[in-house]
Amino acid sequence: MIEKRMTLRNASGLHARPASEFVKLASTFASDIRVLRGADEWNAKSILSLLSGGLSAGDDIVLRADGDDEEQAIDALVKLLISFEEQDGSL
Amino acid sequence: MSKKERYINAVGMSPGIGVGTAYLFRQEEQTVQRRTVRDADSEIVRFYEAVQQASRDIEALYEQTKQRIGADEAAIFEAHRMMLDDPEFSSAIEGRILEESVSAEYAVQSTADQYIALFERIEDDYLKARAADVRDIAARLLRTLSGRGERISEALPERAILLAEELAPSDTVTLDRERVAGIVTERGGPTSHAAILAKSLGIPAVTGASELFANARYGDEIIVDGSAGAVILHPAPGTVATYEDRRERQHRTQRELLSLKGQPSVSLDGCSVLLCANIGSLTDLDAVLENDADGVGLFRTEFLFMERDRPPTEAEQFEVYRAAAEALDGKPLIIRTLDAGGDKALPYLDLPPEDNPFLGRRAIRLCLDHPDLFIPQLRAILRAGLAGDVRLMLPLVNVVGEVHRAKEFIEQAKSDLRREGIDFKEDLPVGIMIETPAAVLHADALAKNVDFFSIGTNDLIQYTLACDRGNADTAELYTPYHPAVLSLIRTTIASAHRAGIHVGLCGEAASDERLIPALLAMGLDSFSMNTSSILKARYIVRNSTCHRSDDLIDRMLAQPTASAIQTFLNRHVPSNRDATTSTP
Repeated sequence: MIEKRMTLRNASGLHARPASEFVKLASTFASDIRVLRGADEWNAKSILSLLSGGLSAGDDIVLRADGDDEEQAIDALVKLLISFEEQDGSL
Repeated sequence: MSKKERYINAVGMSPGIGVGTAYLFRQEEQTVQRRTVRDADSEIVRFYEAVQQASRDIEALYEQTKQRIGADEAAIFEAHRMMLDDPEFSSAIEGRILEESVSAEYAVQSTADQYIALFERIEDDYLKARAADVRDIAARLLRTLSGRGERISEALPERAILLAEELAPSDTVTLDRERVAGIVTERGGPTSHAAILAKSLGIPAVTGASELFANARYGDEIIVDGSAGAVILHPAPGTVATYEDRRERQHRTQRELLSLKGQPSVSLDGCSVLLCANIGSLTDLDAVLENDADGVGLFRTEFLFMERDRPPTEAEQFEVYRAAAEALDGKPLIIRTLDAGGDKALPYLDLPPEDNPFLGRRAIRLCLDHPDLFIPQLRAILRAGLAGDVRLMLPLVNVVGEVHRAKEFIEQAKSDLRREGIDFKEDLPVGIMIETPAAVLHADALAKNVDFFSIGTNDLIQYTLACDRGNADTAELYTPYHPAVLSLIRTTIASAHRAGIHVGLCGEAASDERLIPALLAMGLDSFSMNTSSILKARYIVRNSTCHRSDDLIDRMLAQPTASAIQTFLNRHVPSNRDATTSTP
C-alpha cells in the first residue's frame, strides 16, 4: 500500500474534464485506489463519488493505492494532477 | 385566456432569435413503483444486460454527435458512459436488488435519486448540471430495461419552439435542427449540457421562464431571444416582423463574418494591419486559431503566478510559452511579463498592503525589485523565442530608466544561458506597454530604446481621466472617446512612427467599431482584442479607408466632448457597419 500527499493547485480542482481524465487513468490500474481528504474517502475509479466529493483548488488530499501496480498507479496519477496545474486557470 | 403580448425575462442559454409555435415536449412518466422480486440474481443479470445495451446506445450517440457537431460536444456522452461504468453506482444498485429483493427499475431509480439529491444540494452550478446527467442515465436505463431504446423522435411541426421542463443531452442532440426554431426550459442553467449542445447546434435557447410555462399552450406563438435571455408569448404581428428582421440580419452577419476567415486584414486603400488576440491561458489558443487571428498581441502571464503557494519555475513557464508559440505556427506572440502586485496579489511574496494599489509598486516596478521572480520569466521567454515569432513586452513602463534596468536583466539572463549552453533567441524583440500619460509624453525617448509600443487603453484611460472604471460612481467618466485620450493615442502613434517602430493597441478600444476606422486613419499598426471580436474587426478594416484628409483627425480632436466625438465619427468616419450588430 502506498500513500502520497498532494495539494490540488489547478483552478478547477477535480471537476469537469480533470475529474474524467483522472478516473479514466485510475481505472486502467488493477490496484484499489482511493482519494482521501480529511476523514473522507472516495474511490478514484468512481466519477460520481469524486464529483460528489467536491474536490477543489487548495484541498490537501492523499492518494492511496493498494495492489500489484500500486507504484505505477501513484506515479501516473501524480503526474496527471501536476499536468492539470499547468494547463488550467486563466485570468 | 388573454392573448396579450407578454415579454418574459429569463436566462439566455444559447444566443439567437427563434420565432415559432409552442410545442410541449412531454417528459415520460418516470415514477417507478417499488416492486419486490423473487429471483434477485436474475434481476441483477437483467440490470447488467441493460447497462451493456445502454452503453452501446450511448456509444452510438457519441459517434453521431461527433460527426454532426464536434468532438468537444460528443465528450458529454463520453461522460455519460463513464457514469454508467461507475463501479460505485452499479454496486449500489446491485446491492439494493440483493438486500431488498426489489426490481432492477426500482433499484436504479432510487440509487439515481440519491446521487441527484446529493448533487442538487451542493451550491455549485457544475454539480447541479451533473444531476441532469444522472437523470438522463437513469431514464435511459429504465427505458432499456423496459425494452425501449432512444426516445422516439417525436414528429415535430415546423418552426417548433420546444417547451420542456428540462432537456436531456440525448434529446438535444437528436433534435431536428431544421424544425426546431428555439428551446425554452424551465430549469437547467447555462452551463448544462443541453445548453452547450443547443449553442453548438445554433438553436436559440432560454431557461428559467416559469411564467411562460404557466401560460403557454400548444400552438401559441412564441419568440425566443437567446441573447437577451427573454421570451415573448403571443407577440403582436409588428413584434414578429421586427424580430424576424433581426434574425435575418444576424444570420447574414454570421455568414459574412465566417467568410472573412483567411482573408487579409487590409483596408480598402491597401493599409495592412494585424488583428490579434488578447489571451490569458493556453486554453484560449483554440479560439485564436478558430477565429483566424493574425497573432496574439497580448499574452497575460499572471495565471502562471497567481493562486498558488510558490512561483512557477522557469521550466514550467518555458513549457507554456513554447506551447503557445508552436500553436501559433509562425504568427506573432507577444508575451507580457508579470503584471501583478497592487490589486493582483501574489501570496508568496508577502508584500506590504498599499492604500492605493493602482498607483503602487506593481508590474515592471515589482519585477525590477524581484529579480528572483523576473529573471526566470525572462529566461523562459528567451528560450521559447526559438519556437516561433515571440516578442517580449514590459507593462507600466513610465521612463527610459526602467527600460534600461529591464534590459540589464535581459542581458544577464542571456549571458547566463549562453554560459550554461542553453539555446535561446538572441535578438528577441523587446517592447513596452504605453499606459500612463507620462509614457505618452515621454514616448520619443522611449521609442529610441524599444522595438515596439503597445498602447494599453484600459489603464491609460483611467490614469488620464483620473477615474476608476470599477467604481460605480465614476464609471460613466471612463470613455475612450475623451478628446484627451484620443489625443494621447495619436501622439503615441506619431512618436513610434518617427522612430520607425511598430505600434499596436491592446485595450478594449481595439475592438470598438466606431474607433477602428479612426485608429486606422491615425496609422495604428495592430489591434489586439478578445478573440470573439476579430472577424468583426476585420470586416470593418476591409471596409474602411486608412488614408484620410490631414485635418480630419484634428477636427475630431477639436470636438468638446466624448459624445460629440462619437457623433463626429458616425458622420465623418463611417465604415460599412450596417451588417454588423452594434456595440455601445
